[in-house]
Amino acid sequence: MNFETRASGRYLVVTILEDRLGADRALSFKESLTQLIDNGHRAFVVDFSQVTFIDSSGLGAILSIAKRLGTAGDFLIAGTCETVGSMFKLTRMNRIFPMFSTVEEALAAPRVCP
Amino acid sequence: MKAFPSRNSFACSPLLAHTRESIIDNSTSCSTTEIKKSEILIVDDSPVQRALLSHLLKSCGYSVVEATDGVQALDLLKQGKIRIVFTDWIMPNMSGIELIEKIREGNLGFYVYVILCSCKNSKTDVIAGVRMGADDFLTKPPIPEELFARLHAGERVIKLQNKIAEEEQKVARAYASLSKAHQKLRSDLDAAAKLQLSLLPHPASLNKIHFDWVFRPTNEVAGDTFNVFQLDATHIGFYQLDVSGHGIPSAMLSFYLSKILQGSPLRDSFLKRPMPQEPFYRIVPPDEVVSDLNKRFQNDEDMFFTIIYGVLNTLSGKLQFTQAGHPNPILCRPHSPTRLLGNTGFPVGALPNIEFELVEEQLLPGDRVILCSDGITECINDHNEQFGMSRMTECVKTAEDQQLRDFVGGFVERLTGWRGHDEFDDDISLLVMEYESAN
Repeated sequence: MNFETRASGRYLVVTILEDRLGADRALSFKESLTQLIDNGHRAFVVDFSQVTFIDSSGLGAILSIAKRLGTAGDFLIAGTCETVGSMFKLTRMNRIFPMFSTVEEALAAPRVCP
Repeated sequence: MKAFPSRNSFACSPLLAHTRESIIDNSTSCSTTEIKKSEILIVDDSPVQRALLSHLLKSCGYSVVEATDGVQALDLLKQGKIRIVFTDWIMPNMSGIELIEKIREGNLGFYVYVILCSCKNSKTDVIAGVRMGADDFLTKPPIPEELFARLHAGERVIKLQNKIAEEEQKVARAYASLSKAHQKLRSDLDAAAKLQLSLLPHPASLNKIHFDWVFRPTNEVAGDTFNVFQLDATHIGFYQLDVSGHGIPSAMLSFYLSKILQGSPLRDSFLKRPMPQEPFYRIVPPDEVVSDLNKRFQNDEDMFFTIIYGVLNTLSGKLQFTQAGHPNPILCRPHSPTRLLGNTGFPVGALPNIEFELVEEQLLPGDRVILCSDGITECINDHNEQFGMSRMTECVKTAEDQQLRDFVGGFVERLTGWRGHDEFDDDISLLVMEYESAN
């Protein structure tokens, strides 16, 4: 699973450098982000702009990461394409994760208090 | 282990008188005291030459076997113990060169290191000998230092050869045990796949519902499954589900689910609950069934599934279903635009305490309800384009006049054509139900 991270304010921006987040990548994505959480990061903006496909395993990984983060953390999704976005909608994950069209929008958004 | 010969033994041999000095000086060349010495074959028609070489070798602890010609030598080699041969060039019956040719034919099954001994010592002779397959060349009469240097080189080669043969055997054994394990897994998987197929309904008619389906697991077993079954005299239950991931873990959950979600004559089952008054049971509404499943499957952190579970009253045509993360059912009504039913929904097992919606729809005679797994909508072609829901609905509409069997067959062709071949990345399942024939 290829990704890069950069700090921006209180957020860690995680840019996924893969075009597919399917069964073969889901586990390593989960492990990488779990590691970041264990290292103390609590606020993420995950940049999906390079991802063109996500399946149920990918969504499962995201859910599992969010559960790990708990209610005290922030997990924002940014830059999903139409296909990936429709997968979030179909499974109503768009009701769980705040979604933004770009990373910049996500970073600028007022924080929703948990 | 042979005792190292005393130096006195050299003094006894008149033949070795001229070499005695060098052996004493060069005692390290044959001082291997711990390693078992090789058995060496000397092939020479001259008893004197054999004795000379034999004595030299024996004096350094080697055991020696002698042969007078190539034929005899070959017989000795076939016994399988000897790996190093000193052979004369010119002999009756079978010459040294002919012997080497026989050895190199490879019928012995092991490598033999051959040192060709000859009085011939011109460069062309050496080249000819090596070209015929000799490993080394020794001029007669042998100088002990040279003899042992060449012998040790031979021993190194044989040692390497033995090591390679040993490794090859190890690899062969590992391969054999791997393929045995693989075969066992394979037959277990085949059995599981058969079991999974046996859980699927036979295309049939139940009351006023006719149905048919397509099921193509990516691996032997699938996370997808579906069923259509009778809940009571007027109600049909049906579902299609897709467990996240692929392969065995997904299939195990899908097996389990298909055992819970089935028709039962009992009044107390997962899908029917007892009631104090007639008919002494109630059919559990789909949203309640799915909520129940969601409570049961909260523990499996990474495993969840998407499902459409529905109940159809075959008398009234009233359809009720709950959609949980699964692609929308498609309603295909004759001479009307195709519609997607439902309004999304969380998958089951992903999050606790969530509400599932009940969707209702009045079916009319001739209506078809099509359920498909995401393996179909997300099926990509050569250009990385997804098959998608709109292509799916168009496909359903175009074939609305076809009989169910032809419709299903045609759909497989269409999807395979889109894919470009018939290997898919995800399980493919399609369930088509038709409510009462229009005629």
